[in-house]
Amino acid sequence: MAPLLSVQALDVAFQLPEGEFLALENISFHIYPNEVVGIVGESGCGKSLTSQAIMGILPGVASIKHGNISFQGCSLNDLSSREWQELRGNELTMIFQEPMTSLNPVLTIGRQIAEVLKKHTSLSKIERKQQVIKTMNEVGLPRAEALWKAYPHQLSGGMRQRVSIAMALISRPKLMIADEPTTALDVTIQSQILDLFQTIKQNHSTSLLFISHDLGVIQAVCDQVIVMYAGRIVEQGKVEKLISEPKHPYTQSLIQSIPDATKRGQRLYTIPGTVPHLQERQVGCPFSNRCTYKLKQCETSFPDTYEFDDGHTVACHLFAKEGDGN
Amino acid sequence: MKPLIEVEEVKKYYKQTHRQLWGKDSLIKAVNGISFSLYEGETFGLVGESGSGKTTTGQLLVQLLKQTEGKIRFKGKDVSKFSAKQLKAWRKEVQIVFQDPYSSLNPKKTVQWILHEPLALHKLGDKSSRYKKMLQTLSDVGLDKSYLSRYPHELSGGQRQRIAIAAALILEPQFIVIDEGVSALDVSVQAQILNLLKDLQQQYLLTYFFISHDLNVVQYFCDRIAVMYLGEIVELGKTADIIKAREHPYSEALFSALPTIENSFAVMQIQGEISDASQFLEGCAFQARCPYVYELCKREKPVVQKINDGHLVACHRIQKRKEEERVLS
Repeated sequence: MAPLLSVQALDVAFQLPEGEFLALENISFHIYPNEVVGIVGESGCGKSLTSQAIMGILPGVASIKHGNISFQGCSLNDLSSREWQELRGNELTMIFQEPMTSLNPVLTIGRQIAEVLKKHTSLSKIERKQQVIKTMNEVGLPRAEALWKAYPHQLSGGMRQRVSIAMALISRPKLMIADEPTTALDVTIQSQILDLFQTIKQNHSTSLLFISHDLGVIQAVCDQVIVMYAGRIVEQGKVEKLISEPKHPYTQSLIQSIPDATKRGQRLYTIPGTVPHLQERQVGCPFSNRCTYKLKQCETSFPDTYEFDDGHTVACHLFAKEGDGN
Repeated sequence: MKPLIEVEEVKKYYKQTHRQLWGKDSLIKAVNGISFSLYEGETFGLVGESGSGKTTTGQLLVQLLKQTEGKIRFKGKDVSKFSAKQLKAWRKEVQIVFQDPYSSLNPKKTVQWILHEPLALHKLGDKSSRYKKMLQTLSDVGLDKSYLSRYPHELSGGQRQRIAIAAALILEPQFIVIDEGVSALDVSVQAQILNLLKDLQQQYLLTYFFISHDLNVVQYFCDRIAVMYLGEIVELGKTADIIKAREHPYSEALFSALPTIENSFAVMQIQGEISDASQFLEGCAFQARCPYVYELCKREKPVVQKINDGHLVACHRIQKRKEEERVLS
């Protein structure tokens, strides 16, 4: 099966007054049709930047230096802005973290959702309204007729997030990107929204790229998971396998430092040090100065990616076999 | 054991002036009659959804807000009866750490100023002893003296939160309210701060009132947990009891909604969202979302029931079950 989206050896650089810095280095992954892929990592590791690169909405100071992103077989790197407009919001859609700020406060809910259809389809006004109301019901927005005329400020956080999901879903996209879609919500509402993603996964042939800092949330919705650290992919694999048998030292310590009821009375495991800033990243493995298993070569070269069964891959010198380390 | 703080039927109401012309004023019952005691050296967790009144409760405890009704006693003394002088002296004993270390530290002042200010306000010590105290507090929170000359924007989120904790700690308080103190931090930094808070508690015998919406953190960190819904405490008990046997349907829904890496699917899911605290209903606050709702719940407020020592629940269902048990025996 051909992948829907493939990102190959992507480098994204920031132009800062101090010079040029690589914020993403050698990012490669695939998303297949109907698959849910999660990206997990701490703030500043490049999760959101990766999604922005795919959507073609990188901030002004950032640009793609190297590598290729292809969607349904065609490269996204040199699309004209007109071609982007046709793609974005249609086959490729995005849900943002903060539903407060991602909706237009002066447009009614109905008009905002219908705008997608107005741009990308030739449906009549009445057909658009029918379609919108159908989608609103589908994402669990009650009394769609009444909500049609409501403004975002009249809705609660959970309802606003459902509106964003409706907007992303209405064009029947091939790929939806959700950037921390439940982080701003309460647990009970989060659980409802995660359920909604499950239903969407079953009822539509939509792939989903799901970004979160919360491994629990990732486990609830994703098939595959990518662990990022300081602009690099350090581990990738099936979600159950990766959480039950993490291989990379960073993934291991990340899982160990999550507090929960079973760790009561014990000290939490902490990773010494902090994530290096963009300007302070050095050659070699970015995790090396916090890693308990640090080897000599970790300081000088970034490890190759080693593959295990089931497509589980790890970028760590610990897994180099005798003889093939250089 | 004598409690450090006793909270008795505390209420905090806000008047909301009418929104429409000729409309009526309404009352927002942010905190609606809560009672509990805090004991020396314990960590008391308060959980609930946004809008349930957690932050208001925390601010009432340190008297950043004045309660509409009810009593708060600190070591047996009613804090609302304190004179201005007594209140200032008392403020040394109780401190608060806020959620967002980005907005709770003055961006125009150095760490030295931020740590010096509380000492100056309370006229404690002279120049050299203040400097010594600042250095000691910094080392308590795991930072060194090079941080004194820095501004908040030069620090990472974790370092800022350490400074906020240092500023609360420098007056040697007995009681600290931590309002979502680790929520804005990454998991690895959060673990560092939680360990730090544990160490400080042992070192200085601190009592924590720990407000959080993150149930993983609360279950790990707290000795007792109170669950709040629409301004009322619906369940209160030792953490082990709350983890093992939750009785109130809201606590059950809340805790089972939590996706953890061990268990990612909710056992029980509740529909709808927390209602507006201004639309006050008769009877139980949770009736609109409760899957077990009885006729009685819509008429009468449930009375607090004791399940076992220190485990309290306010629910008609438990009340009914208890009555049945009584009849059988």
